[in-house]
Amino acid sequence: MGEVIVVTSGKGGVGKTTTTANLGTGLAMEGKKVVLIDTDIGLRNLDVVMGLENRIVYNLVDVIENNCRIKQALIKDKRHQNLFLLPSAQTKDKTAVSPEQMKKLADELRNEYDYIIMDCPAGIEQGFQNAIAGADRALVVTTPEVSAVRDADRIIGLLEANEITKTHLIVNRLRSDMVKEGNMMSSDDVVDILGIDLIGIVPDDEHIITSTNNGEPLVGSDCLAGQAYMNICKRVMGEDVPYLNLDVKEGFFQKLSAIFKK
Amino acid sequence: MKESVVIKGTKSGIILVLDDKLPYEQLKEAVADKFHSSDEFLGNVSKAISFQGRELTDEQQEEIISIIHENCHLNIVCITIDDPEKEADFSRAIENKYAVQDANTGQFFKGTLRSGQVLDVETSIIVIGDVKVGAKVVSKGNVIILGTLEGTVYAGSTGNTNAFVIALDMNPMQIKIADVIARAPDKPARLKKRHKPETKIAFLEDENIYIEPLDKDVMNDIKL
Amino acid sequence: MGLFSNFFRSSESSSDVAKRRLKVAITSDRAVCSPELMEQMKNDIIQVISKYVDIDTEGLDIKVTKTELDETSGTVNALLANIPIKEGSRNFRK
Repeated sequence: MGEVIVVTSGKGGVGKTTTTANLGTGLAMEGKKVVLIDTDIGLRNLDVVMGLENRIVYNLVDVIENNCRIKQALIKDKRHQNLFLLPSAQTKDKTAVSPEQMKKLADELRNEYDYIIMDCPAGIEQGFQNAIAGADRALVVTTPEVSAVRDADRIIGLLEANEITKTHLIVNRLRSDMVKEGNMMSSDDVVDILGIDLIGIVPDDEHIITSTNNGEPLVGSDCLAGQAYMNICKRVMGEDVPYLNLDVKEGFFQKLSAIFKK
Repeated sequence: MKESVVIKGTKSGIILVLDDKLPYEQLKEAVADKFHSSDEFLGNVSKAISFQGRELTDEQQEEIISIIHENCHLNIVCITIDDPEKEADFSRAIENKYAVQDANTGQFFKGTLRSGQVLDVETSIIVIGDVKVGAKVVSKGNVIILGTLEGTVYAGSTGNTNAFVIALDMNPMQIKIADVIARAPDKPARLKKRHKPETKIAFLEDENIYIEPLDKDVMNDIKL
Repeated sequence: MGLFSNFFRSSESSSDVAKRRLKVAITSDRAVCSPELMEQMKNDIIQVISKYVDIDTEGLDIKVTKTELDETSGTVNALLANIPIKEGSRNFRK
């Protein structure tokens, strides 16, 4: 029986879609059968982040409206045989789908896949209600910024109100150099404010930009973000993985200036 | 006594049951009488026809259809062969007939189609503007884009395999003609920039979609 | 140099400021009670208290505010209810 995970944040632009893509890809690399569902109807993006935008024929709304079978709408990933994407519709709006229909869809997929991951739209309106309808657990993504953390708190409250109690936090785009200087809240600060358990810290890494450009999630690669995402996947699967040392390998000039400081 | 001419109606066609004993000249009169008297009942609609009970030559079939046209308002669009799957044949034949007609008429659309917008038309369509990534043009006939095609086009959406797509700058996400889908090749973003604008045509041949520069030879092969 | 940096940067680091501001903002966010829920609670309170004493339902006022309990604990959320008792009703019911 598969697990339904919703990736949500409240605030837009904190990395929900990137997290969904990397989480799904990482779980597939670990041999799990995974479906990613883009629930942001009218503003689809997960397909481009996954590099599958040219394969879309049917979408989530087509499945809900019975224009096609689920199997026809699922797009197989380029690199992983056991990873599938159900893209969102670009031409409809969020009212085209109801929470009951989403729950039914999730329950159908549960029989055949290990993980069903919902990429939630920003905001707390119907799109959010649709995305969380069938979820067993939630991953709340935030960045160490006041606006993102405040919205994350609101989301955590709404998840509780909807009886989703298995909720974990991902702190995204952390810059350990700024944390050290006292110019950015640390992941501990964020956990302290939000009061839920941490499941991952992802450093601010420019490789994320290039991987998104190419439509190839970087989970499992050597860079820090790649390792961090892989660790999140393993923790989602229940493994106990120690946290990475996120101190960025110093560049040549930083090393040089460090020597002079001595 | 058995009637020499019987009209059986189905959903999208009629079956004309003819007496095979009657001399042909008499039969023609009987057909004229029958359709003349049934005019009101048959109405002004388009139907496919099939013949039963009597072998007719092609000329005779044509002649009978013209008699029908003279005597009532029925519009016989085609003849189907009498077989057990008549009903399916009738509707398919009529649909194709209209698809071909629609494909050969067209309309214009001026403006840029952006992500999320869908232009869905019954006829062929000429877009004066660009079709951006995420936008979609669906036509039962042909699609001509006087601009850049970066989005998705479905031509011959009801199954017309002769439908084609032309764009001044052909760089589509996806093209579907009849039931065949072609998608853009997977290449890293940095290579996509090398694309140079060129007028191209996409057409269907042997279950494959080909995209070629629009030259004289290709143009001569276009079937309308 | 020291004077200069002190000028631009208070003793509190910007991450500390962020944390402090967030805590305040989030506390008040969490305390927000929907108007419907507030109305429901108001009606329930009227029902319960009316069992014992005649109250002036028109003048009843309920709100959630922040208040300081003592010097050390900082601000906490408190439910403040102002419930006027009707004139002429001297005795609490048995």
